[in-house]
Amino acid sequence: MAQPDLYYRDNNPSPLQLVWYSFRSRIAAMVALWFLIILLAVTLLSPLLAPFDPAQQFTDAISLPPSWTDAGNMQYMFGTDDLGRDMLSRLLIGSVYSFALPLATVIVASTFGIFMGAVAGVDRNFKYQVFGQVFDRVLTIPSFLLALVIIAILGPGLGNAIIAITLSLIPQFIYVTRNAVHSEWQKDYVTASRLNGCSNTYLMYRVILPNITPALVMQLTVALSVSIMDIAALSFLGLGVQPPTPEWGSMLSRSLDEVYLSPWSMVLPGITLFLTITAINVVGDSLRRAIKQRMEN
Amino acid sequence: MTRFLLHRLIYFTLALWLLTVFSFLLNWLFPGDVITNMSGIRAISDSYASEFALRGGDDNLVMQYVYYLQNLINFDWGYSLVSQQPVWLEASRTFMATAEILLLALLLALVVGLPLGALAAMRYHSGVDKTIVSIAVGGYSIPVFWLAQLLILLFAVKLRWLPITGQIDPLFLIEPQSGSVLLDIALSDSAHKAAAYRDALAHMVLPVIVLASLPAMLLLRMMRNTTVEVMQQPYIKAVRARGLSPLRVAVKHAIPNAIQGILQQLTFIFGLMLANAVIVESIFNWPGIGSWLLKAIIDRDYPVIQAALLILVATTLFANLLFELYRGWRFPIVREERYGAT
Amino acid sequence: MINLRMTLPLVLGLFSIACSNEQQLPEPLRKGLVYCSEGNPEGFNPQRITSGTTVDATAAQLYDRLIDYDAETQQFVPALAEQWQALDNGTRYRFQLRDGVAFHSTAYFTPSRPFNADDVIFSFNRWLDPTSLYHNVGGGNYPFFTATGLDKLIKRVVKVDTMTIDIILNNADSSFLANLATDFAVILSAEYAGQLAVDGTPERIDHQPIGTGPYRFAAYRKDYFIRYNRNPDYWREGPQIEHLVYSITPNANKRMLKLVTGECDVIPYPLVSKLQSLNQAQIEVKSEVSPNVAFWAFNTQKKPFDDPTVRQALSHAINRRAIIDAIYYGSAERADSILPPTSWAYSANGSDVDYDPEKARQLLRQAGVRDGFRMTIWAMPVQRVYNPNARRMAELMQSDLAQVGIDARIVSYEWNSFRRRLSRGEHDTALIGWYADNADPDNFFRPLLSCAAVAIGSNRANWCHPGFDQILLEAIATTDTETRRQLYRSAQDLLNQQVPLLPIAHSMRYQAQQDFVTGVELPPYGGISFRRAGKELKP
Repeated sequence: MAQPDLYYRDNNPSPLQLVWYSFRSRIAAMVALWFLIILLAVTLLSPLLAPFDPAQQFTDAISLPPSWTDAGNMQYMFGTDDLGRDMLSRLLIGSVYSFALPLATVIVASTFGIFMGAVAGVDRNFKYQVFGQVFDRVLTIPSFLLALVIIAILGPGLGNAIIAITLSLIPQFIYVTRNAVHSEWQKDYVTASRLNGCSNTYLMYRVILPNITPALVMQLTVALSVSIMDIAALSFLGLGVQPPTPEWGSMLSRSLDEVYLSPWSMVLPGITLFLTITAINVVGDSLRRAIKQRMEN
Repeated sequence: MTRFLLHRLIYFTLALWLLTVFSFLLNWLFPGDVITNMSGIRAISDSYASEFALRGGDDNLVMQYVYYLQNLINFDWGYSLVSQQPVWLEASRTFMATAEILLLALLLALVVGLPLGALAAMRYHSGVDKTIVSIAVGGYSIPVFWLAQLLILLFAVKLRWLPITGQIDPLFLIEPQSGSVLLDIALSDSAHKAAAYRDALAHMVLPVIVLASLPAMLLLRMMRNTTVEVMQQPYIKAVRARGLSPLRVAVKHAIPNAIQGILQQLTFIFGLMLANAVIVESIFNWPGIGSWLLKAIIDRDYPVIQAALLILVATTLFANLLFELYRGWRFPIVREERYGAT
Repeated sequence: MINLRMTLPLVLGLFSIACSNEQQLPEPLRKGLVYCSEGNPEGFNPQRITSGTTVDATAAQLYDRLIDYDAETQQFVPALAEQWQALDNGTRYRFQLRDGVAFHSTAYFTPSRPFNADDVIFSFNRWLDPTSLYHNVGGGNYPFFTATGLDKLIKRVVKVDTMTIDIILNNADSSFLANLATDFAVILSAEYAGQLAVDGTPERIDHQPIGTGPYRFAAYRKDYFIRYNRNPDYWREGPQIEHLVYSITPNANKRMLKLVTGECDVIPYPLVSKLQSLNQAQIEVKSEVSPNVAFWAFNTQKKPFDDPTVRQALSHAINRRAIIDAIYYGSAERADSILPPTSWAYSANGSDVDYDPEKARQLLRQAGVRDGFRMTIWAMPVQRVYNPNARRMAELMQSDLAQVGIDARIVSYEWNSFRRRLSRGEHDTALIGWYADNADPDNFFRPLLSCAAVAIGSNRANWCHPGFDQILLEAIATTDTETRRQLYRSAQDLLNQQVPLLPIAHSMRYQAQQDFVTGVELPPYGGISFRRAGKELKP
């Protein structure tokens, strides 16, 4: 990779760049990534893209099949549900609740979690050891169960579900960051920087963080898929989003009553949810492999 | 080993103790009267005064906690606010019902996931491997509630092979004594035990498959990745150089070591299954602890919520302990016995 | 790989188990019947409750009444009373009781004597006499008897001899016998009550019931099942099946799936349009015109619903036509009165509220309700004969209300909690309904909208109007049909003007079952009866 540069300089890509080079060579990974980027764009633009108000009921077009079937109507591309609401609009606006909202919870949770994990990764004495051991056991409790605990206290509802999911994601971030920081801390290059007299803050931001970023990005994808699944599951069980808000999980759960008359009302939100989660998992998997590749080389 | 055992036991007990403290504090976090939240006895009830005294309503927090712990240990878990039935009775039954499908699903997941994972690893980068891995990625991305509905439509409605709700046809008159339907049939004096077992097993198929799908796919992927890693180790090369057949290399040398890594993840998988059990049970009307918790949350039945959470979390902690102890016993390297170290 | 080979037979084995299930029904399944009911019963004593779910589960199965009503001949027929006569100008009724009727003999009670006058007196005094030992067991609330005024009508019940009783009334009443024939006026065992009192567990009388009915209580597990066994000593022709199980399945869709998979033999309130689309040959659907009404009740003790203008405005905001199409799929007609058109007291009137959002907005402004006003719609969690899907109906209304600038939130609880909270008046508005216990039009008014009904919590609007009560009292004091028709007409007019509730629909009653099930009756009044249930299976 010789670059036409005036002065020869050793070009050292950052760890994140290295991972990215490896990542982008995978077709499946790039397809999944593009899918997510497009989905994010669609989500952000959904109020503009949606042909109708998702709560508007067309009483003359109840349970209309999608437009590609014989009985369909081009006006409602994906058909309508049992109350005559446009499925396309509901799916589009639903992405705000099923995709953008989980994304937001992950961003908030990661901010808190990474900060706390970094602090915990540096500070290590006996007290911390005991706490860490107990904490490891807390982590064995799945986030969905933690979310249920929090909902049990706060009561069902969208706001509470979001709080619950955000809180339940934080421990995983703390854990991953702490372990990553801990394992880097013992490496020679960090010791060298410490001997050079770098402050802890400098060490953290300039020395360690670049090296653990790939691991954190991977944890972000894991958390995102968990968060999407959790919010959909809570809504499916009636503890999250309340009607008439369109959300993929709650759309699925209410479509069950109609599944013989209008199978598309169950298939469409299900497939959307499935594809979204698959894409995130593929990205996460590819990241993991790319990180491993970097480690090996 | 003793040191390892003690070490793990101490942390398990510590975590369990923290759990009871948290569960005790839940009574304050829940809305309403604290004693009512603990005991399920409403303030308008006649027995409230005696319950108040019994649970140390006038004492300080520490004393109240001691009373709480005492009641917990004596299985005096209060009454459901909705049904006025003793919580412990229902808790033990629902727990057994959950344990039944959970263990079967875990077994199914291991039996399906591990061999397929090993197979994929043996045929690393071949067509077989790629097919298996793509199925796995799809398999663990599918929302469990959607999968359940698709299977119900296929097997129950279209093909009519399988029933979709409950543990057994109620006409078999099997009393729910233990909660686990297979045990209950054995305990019953039914004249049609064989038919009852057939019916109960048919009821189990769908919930177990749905519950097993996610962990099976996760195990498959983990097994494949760890086996691939192990296969690249120098010692495998050494055994191969000695001329052992590839099958023997895999079965005798590679797979046991791959399983060591998987055991570490088993707690995580178990926890996921427990969470999914909440969804699966409510879809299939399985009278387990997950659906019990869900109903209690919707009805705001605080004594039940508390009990169900306590049991679910304690179960994960206990499973974690078991997996770790087994790993420590089977793979001494895990014990980290550094003699002389602090 | 070795494991893989072992898994395949295991999985296939499980499927073959499942398949073989269909070929021949094991004996227990031939001798029993599964009814997939829509909710938990509140208890096992119909005297204390009004919910149709509980009536379906208990009244006709566990108990008998003094007299029954035969819908075909439209006459009262003997049950536990062999004959009866009205004396003293209809203020005293003498009942001759049936000999040799045995109470249930179960694991928890063995009767030492057959049914006699003591049992009748005990059963009536339970709800009639506040000083009786059992009156306050379970709270002392007997909604049906309070709402119909039967507790005020009956002066006392007197034992003439072992097998004869007199019921003495304060005044003649045209609906007395009709009320005695309802599902609520059941006969309990005095001997069992005595035994429980000695044991110090009187509350068991409503949870471990003893009656004379065609089935005996065996077991109940909340949210899962109720189990009854055939009463072998039943005094008249009993069921052909040995066991009757109520499999509790609140979700309407699941209930239908269970009918399709054969897990249920009979289900109430099927989703008829969907059942037809499934095209299942072995499933039979029965329908019956049923006197019922679904309505939207406003809690008139909460602001701003205490203002009739607000209630009128809300009524104009709802598109009931759309509701009939989307929720009932046309199997109901739009209600313009609380009385169904099949009732003789029904009178079509022109003052019905129409769908007019513009007018609604104007009335709301007039009443001082601001844009963005927040309220709750309580929607039943279960299907009822009058409303196949209250939550979905609430969603439709939610969007109607949004059109007039009202932000409505849907609230739902488990069925019994829901009713309990409604009785406490926690709701703003509620989607619920009523179906008649007997043929008398009074049954649509007093249990729902009288001041007495407010006190016992069955008046969902919490609406107490002295003038309205006065009309109802006048209407039952006379036996002249034309006078009563006039009075009920003015009652309906008053309702249209005050709108404590908005009638939505009168629905058909449906039931679906496997074609081999026989003898499951759907009486027009009251709950389902399995008294003659049987199965005709091919050998």
